[in-house]
Amino acid sequence: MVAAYPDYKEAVAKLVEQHRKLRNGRLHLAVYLAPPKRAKRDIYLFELIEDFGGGSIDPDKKLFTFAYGSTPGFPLPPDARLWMILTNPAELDHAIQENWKRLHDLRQSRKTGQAIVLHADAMGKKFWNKLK
Amino acid sequence: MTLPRAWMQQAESDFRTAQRVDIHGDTRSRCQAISKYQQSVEKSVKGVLDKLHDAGFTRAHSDSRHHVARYAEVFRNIPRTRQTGDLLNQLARLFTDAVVEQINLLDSFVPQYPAAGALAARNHEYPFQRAPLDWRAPSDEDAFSAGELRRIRHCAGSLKVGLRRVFDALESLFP
Repeated sequence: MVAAYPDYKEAVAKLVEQHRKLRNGRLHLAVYLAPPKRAKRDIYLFELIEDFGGGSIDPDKKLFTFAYGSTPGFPLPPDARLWMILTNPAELDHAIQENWKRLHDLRQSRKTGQAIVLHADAMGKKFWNKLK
Repeated sequence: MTLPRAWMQQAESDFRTAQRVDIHGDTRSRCQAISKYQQSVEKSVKGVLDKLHDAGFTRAHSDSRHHVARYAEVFRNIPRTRQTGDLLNQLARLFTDAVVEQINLLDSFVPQYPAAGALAARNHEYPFQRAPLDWRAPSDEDAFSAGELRRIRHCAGSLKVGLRRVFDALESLFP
């Protein structure tokens, strides 16, 4: 039996809590999501971090997305991967205004009720509302 | 603050300083801009390397030497999967042959005293020689070309952004 969304809510919430402490008030938004057309066994986490990438904006208009397997801090079954989508407020603002392609996963997850906000401060809420 | 994070913060500061002295048309300050771009690259590379070391990916860690092209091979050879989205693949992809070539060039510009009997090599800080009696200063108008500076600027800029993103991602995976 392969675990799927939202089975990892508790584990992802713990990871987000670690990130919240690590970023020391600079983590604005963290969302555990399940994009409709992605592998069901994988876990997807979107985070908006104040100075991610030094506050840079990707010239190729792609939100920074990467995958990783099991780690000591976030154990996963074989073949399952943790996908993270990381951005900063300036970049997300651009992405929303210019409708970058990778926002589609976020919007679709939200639209289909496959997204759980695990952390949001005032700025995070503002951006999450813009992603409706 | 951890050592890797301190490297990354200083790399950012070096890059901003490089941008301030990288003045179009001011040929005599090219050496200053190249010096700060080189320092930015060196520190970004060392920051990511030390983060990988702390996370247990590699036994290599930064040392006192300024030359960092040797670490590109570490980044390219870390065991990883075939999936393009893998973070370590993204790290390896930053170090294309062209980027490594520029890092080698930057490494060669780090000042060092010549071996006995050798000419002082061109660098961004100390006087150097084109012939035994022909001393030049790095701030000479023709010490560095506009093309060299343009390529170095591009290399340092792309590594600053790319390595910082990978570093932040590693911090998220290995807090």
